[in-house]
Amino acid sequence: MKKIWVALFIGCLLAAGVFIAGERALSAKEEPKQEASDESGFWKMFRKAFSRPEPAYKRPDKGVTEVAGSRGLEEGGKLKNKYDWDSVQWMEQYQVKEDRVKDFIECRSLGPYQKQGAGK
Amino acid sequence: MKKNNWLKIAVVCVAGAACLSGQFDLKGVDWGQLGKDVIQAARPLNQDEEIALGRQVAARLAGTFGVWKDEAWTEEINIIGRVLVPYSERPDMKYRFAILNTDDVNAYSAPGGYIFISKGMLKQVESEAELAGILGHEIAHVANKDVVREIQKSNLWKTGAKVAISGTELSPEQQELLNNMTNASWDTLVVKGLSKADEFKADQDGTVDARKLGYDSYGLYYFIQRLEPLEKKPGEDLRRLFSTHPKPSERSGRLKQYFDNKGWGKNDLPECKDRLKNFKANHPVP
Repeated sequence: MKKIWVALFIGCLLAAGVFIAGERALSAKEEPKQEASDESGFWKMFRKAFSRPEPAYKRPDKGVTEVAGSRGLEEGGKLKNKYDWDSVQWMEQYQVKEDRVKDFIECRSLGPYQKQGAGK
Repeated sequence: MKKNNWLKIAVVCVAGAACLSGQFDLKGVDWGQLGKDVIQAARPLNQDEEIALGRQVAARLAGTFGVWKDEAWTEEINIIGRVLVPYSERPDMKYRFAILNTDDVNAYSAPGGYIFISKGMLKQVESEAELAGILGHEIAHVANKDVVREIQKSNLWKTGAKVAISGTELSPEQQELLNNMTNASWDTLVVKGLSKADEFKADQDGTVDARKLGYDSYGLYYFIQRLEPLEKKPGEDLRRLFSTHPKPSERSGRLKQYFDNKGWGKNDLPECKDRLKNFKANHPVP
């Protein structure tokens, strides 16, 4: 019985060693999640989410991405297999003015302006 | 054979393997690389990879259905969608909203926060609370990483996880993995649909987010309830929605149960029916 425990112990040590070595090698950092609780938190979160710079934009090679076949197309037989990168870029660059957002939620008493305790 | 005997055999095997390993030059092993490989094989998609995948799925949705770039409606859904985000489970993600130029009644959420609602769906919604519920549902799919989890469960990712998808220039190997993942995501979104549990959870989370924002919790419920009579004989515009989602009666039943448990009544918050009606009158959906 003792041997089993020794073997298990050595196995665990090895696994831990490999894991730690790997973690160090990767050394990835994760951003903590934040929550919007009050008005300032809401706008802070809103600005953070929508003023962040876009990731570098690279249009994949046409030839590479358009070869994709999928059951989605075969099954219905109606859907086209096309990629519209201009629309994605347009979508990514679309901006809403903060004033318009403020007006929208203020005149409906929504979000941080609401007073009826809906967040409970 | 007795349990103890199996254990003895296992110990002997471990010991044997340990002895054999002595035959190899363990000093030459790059433990960092080995650990990195082991961890990467089980790692989840990171946010950059999720966005890269979502972007490609979004491009395919946009290319397949077309995008209706109406100024007023695009602003409307972007405002409602964006003010919902801080109440979602994943507010650190950048979400984008656009309208698909199709009469299909449907909405899609690609990984990485690319959310689409169809023109057909906009024709059917009757209040801002309904619109908020629908967008909240899609945001919840992104926040819960529903499509991403499906990809991670697949052998595609288990074998491809070592290939990190990052940078602006993708190698052919990276691009191939991305293409395969795009196909799998497309299948999940457009053909097979997500699991019933994921859909019910998104209904619930979307409703909660809309309520936290200040809209009537019953928005999404009303919309789904109106689809119930069409369950047995759906028109062409509803086929895709019905084939990828649980039955409307099941969805509304689950939501009602949830509301009852929470004690949330109808119309305890504004539905903004008139506002959307006026908006639609001024900006009709063709």
